[in-house]
Amino acid sequence: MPQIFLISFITFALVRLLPGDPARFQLGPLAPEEAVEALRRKLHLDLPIPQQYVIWLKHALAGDFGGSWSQGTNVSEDLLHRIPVTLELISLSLIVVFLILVPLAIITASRTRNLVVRALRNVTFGYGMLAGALPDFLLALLLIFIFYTNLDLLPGPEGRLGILDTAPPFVTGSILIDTIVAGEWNTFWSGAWHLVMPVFTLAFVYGAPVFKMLRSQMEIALDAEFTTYGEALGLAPSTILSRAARVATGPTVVIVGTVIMFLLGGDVLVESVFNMSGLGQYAVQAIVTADYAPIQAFVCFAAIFTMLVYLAVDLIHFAMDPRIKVVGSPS
Amino acid sequence: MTALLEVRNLTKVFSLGPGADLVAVRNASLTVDRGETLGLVGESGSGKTTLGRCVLRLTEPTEGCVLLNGNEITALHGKALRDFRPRMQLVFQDPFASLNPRFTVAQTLREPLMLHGFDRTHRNRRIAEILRQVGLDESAFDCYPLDLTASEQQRVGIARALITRPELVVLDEPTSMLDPSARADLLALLQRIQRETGTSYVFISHDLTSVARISHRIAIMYLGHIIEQAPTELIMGRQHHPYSRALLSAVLFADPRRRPSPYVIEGEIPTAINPKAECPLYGRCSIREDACRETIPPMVEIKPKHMSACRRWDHVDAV
Amino acid sequence: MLVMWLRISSTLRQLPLWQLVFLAFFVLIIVLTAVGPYVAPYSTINASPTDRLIPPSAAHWLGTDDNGIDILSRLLAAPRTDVVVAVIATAISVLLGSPLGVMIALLESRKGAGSTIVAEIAMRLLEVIQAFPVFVFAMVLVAVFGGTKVNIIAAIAFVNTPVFVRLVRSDVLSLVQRPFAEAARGVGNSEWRIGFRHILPNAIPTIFVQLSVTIGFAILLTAGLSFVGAGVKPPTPELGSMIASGAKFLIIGQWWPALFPGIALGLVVFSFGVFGEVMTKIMEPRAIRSSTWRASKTPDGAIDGPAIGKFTTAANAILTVRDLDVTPLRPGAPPVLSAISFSLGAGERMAIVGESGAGKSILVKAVLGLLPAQLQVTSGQVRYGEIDLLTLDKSTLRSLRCKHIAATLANAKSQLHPLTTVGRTFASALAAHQKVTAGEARQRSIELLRMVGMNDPERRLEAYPHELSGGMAQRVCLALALMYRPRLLIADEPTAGLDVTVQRQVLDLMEKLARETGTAQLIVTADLGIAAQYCDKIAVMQAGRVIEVNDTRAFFDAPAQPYSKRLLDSVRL
Repeated sequence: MPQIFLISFITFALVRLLPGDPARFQLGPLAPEEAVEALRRKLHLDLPIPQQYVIWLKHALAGDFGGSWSQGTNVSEDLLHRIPVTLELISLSLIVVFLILVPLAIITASRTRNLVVRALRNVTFGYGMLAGALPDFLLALLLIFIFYTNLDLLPGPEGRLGILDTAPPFVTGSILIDTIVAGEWNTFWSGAWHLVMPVFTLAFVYGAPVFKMLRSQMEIALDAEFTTYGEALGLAPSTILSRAARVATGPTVVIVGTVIMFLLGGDVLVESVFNMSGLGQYAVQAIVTADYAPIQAFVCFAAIFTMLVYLAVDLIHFAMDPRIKVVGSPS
Repeated sequence: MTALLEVRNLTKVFSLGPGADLVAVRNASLTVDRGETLGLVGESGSGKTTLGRCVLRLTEPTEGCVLLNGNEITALHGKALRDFRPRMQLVFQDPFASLNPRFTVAQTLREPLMLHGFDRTHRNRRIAEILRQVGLDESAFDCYPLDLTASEQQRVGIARALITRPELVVLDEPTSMLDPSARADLLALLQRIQRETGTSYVFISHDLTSVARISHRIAIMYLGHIIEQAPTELIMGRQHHPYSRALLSAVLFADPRRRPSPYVIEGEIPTAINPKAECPLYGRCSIREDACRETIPPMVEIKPKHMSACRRWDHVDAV
Repeated sequence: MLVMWLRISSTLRQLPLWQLVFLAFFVLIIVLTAVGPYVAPYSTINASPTDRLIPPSAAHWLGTDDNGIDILSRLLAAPRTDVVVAVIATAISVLLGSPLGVMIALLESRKGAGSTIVAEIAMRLLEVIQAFPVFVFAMVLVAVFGGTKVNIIAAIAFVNTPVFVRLVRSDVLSLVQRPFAEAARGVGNSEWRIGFRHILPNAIPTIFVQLSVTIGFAILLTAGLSFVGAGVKPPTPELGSMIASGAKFLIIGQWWPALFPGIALGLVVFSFGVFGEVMTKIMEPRAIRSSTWRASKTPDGAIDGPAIGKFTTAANAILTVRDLDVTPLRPGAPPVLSAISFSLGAGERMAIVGESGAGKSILVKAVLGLLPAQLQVTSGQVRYGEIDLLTLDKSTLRSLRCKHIAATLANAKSQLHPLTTVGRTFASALAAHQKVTAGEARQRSIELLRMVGMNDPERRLEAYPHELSGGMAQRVCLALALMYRPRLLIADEPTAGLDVTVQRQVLDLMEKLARETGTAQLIVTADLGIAAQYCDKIAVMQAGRVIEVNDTRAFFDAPAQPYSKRLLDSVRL
């Protein structure tokens, strides 16, 4: 808990060190000095940093994160619109990872002589190597080049919807959910098609560590003594596989946690390339324009999100593995 | 003549959390003379390993004191303790794990000498000498642990322990991870070295046959208590504690004509967490009486040189 | 440094071709880092507006970018920037992070109140730093302190240091528990010396693995930062910024300004990854001198020559093994088991004795049909009654298991699935062979546990394997094995690791059960005492062969083979 305060304070101080004078930026180079001074006082920029922090904190706890001067909007509103976008991207990517990569990892871990499995093994081996070396923004560009520029199968990097589409009324901020709720099927499909490439990029690049860890843990579990013993007992192959998978899940969950955090930081580039108006793109723009409030809010959100993910990973571990005990109870 | 090693009332308690104390060793006292081997026998949870480490101050005793040649080891700290180490050494159970996988044999053996002030010419001579003594060829000098067999690795461990000419060597299950034939060779080696150098051993093991072969005296431990102590022939011939009897009945001889004795103790070893102040064997003993539950039986010299912690020591045969 | 050379050459010889290719590429990149700008055919920074966006051609092999600069030249010069930044940044992270990790771990293992608090605070600080989303944090740092190369290096180094601190700390914490660390203390080392002289060198492999991953990551980070304009600024050739400036042209079809740098980036990162893997293999401690050192050792005792003893092929033999050979799949590898032959009659108990490495456990697995993937049966028969087990298909074999042929393998506690309760394991085993309801399964399990002498069986059903003692776990495995009153029970080291008194209990139990159910038992053990007291027949194995088979009494009275004699001598009091 106290870490969050520390994080927000450090960010606050760092951000204040960004070059440039926000007051001057806002009013432009031609504004008179007194006006700039007045604005600086209004923005509390003349106070020492710790005091500024306290003021910010008071507002933040009330839900007011200040205003973004470069966009001319209220940060809290921006967050409300942009967080769901990023969450939608991340969740969809994770779903793809779970639906495709996880079963692949489990299947290709066994050492059967089955031809199909062996072919898959070779393919996924290449995937593992490749995904570690390819940056996400490059993959995004390649996909756009192939599927939009050349094959014209998918929409280009124009954002969440096409130029001619109108956004559905705001319910959750998620394109897919909101269009279903509003019954606008055309917009739904447009949104879905626009999501294909970004989601695929994220899943491909960030699913790789999960895939590699899960597969190597499965291999270890399948080689373990309890597997041999299970076979000696005459258990069915599916039972043996599921028992191995349960053991393999432990370390994988930790990796999934790490990957989720990376997704948050990493989807910054993908959002920028595809112009998705998500939280990441917001943060990047804010840094480049020295816009304090959005950066502050973004980092806070990211930090809280990280803490929650760590907590969830610990809880899952605890629930799954009876060997981990609460501190204090004798074995 | 004072004994080389004297352990007085040593106790070691591990705190596992609030209200949960693991009493690994309780009120242990023993002596070892010069040039003698004391065998320390017990099953898991007996505390024999902990006792061995407490004697060498690799684990800190909670209470009690240890004297080596009259010096109170338990009162030494920091550099004084480190400087004392050449005189008392340990040989470990797992031959491979006790060697640094990245050190050659030469580096492993050189280190004790370097730390305690031997100069270069002396070092090399001493290393060659000790390698010969443990039966390793000079070409082992540049080998890494992985290049050696388990038996050879253990010889390196023994060489490392002996290289500073210690007065006492504690051996913690030194042969339990070796094959039977290697075991016999190693025991013979240890005996030969003792004859040549007069080093005293504390030989910790759960294997009675090995202990009986090499020890002059045996002390049997159960649940942190030393329950019987006597010269080897006496204790192997006739035991005066129900647990010792059980231990000996459990020995399986490699001779089909010697049938195992029918006495087997039932149940499992209880936990040593928060033990009650009673005889540790109370729950499993077949000759117990009410007095055994009230206090911990003291260690008494029941016959010359034969100590037992059983109140009904003279009824053990009837068991 | 002969050792280093031996390591390197032996590793290189075993590498697959594609890894060697990328290793060569890696070397190329290093070379380019040094001389890249000097070998470029054209200028790398002088703009030439008349030559804008020329597609790949004879004059410009990779085309020109939107400033008219030759892309090939820029590509040759670019690795220098990315690699230098990444390598220096990672080097700083390692050099800062590793000692910190060691120190924190040493403080934690000291268990003193003061040290623990310091360690705690340090770890919390690390958590704070790591909670910042990496990319954004690096961006902010660069934006705040300026986009010079030095600052980029510092930012990347700062972001990556916690990774190494964490990694080294956890590695050291586990290494400190190992006996050699305790041995170092016993010899008289001070704590800090142990940490840095003994433990840290053993953590180096882990550091190395992470190192190559981090360098790759750092390169991607540099490129990513430059891509959004927060990193290296033009006109310095750098792969990320090249991709960025080429991006807008990619979308409209002019692919070469972005694609070539992209491919180059991928290749660079990948080569570093391969290099890291190869380095790890080289650094692994392993037997280096095995070929030369071991050749000088004479093998122990007679291996050649026929086996001696009686092989009953009685009509009622439960198990007959005839001329069984097991070899590794790898061509040219020596056989692991050769010409194994013995037989076991109904209700008989036979001991298979031998030292470690003799092949006893492999024999058990071969009989059960559970050989690991690297081994296979190359000839021979394993007959259960009249059926040759080796010719059966998988599902028939499975139906025989547990019902007819049961087994307990070595080390009972690790046989049981760690995340499954005893009760569930019983239920699964029962359900695999017949239809049972949950209630029936529970009833049967309790009966079985009682049969093997466990008190309080209802409670034991809810226990997890790690909560059982070794003796209890072995009883559970026995109960599982005897569920269907099999005609053959194979027990691999049933009492290894158990206390002596518990050993007696388990062996007496096995004897009782054998008498009551008429099960034939094949007991594998290194302990001749068990063979002498509990078995009717004995087979001695050495180096993958059965060298002697006999009735127990006869064997102990007069062992025939010299090796057998030696074995007996070493255990006689």
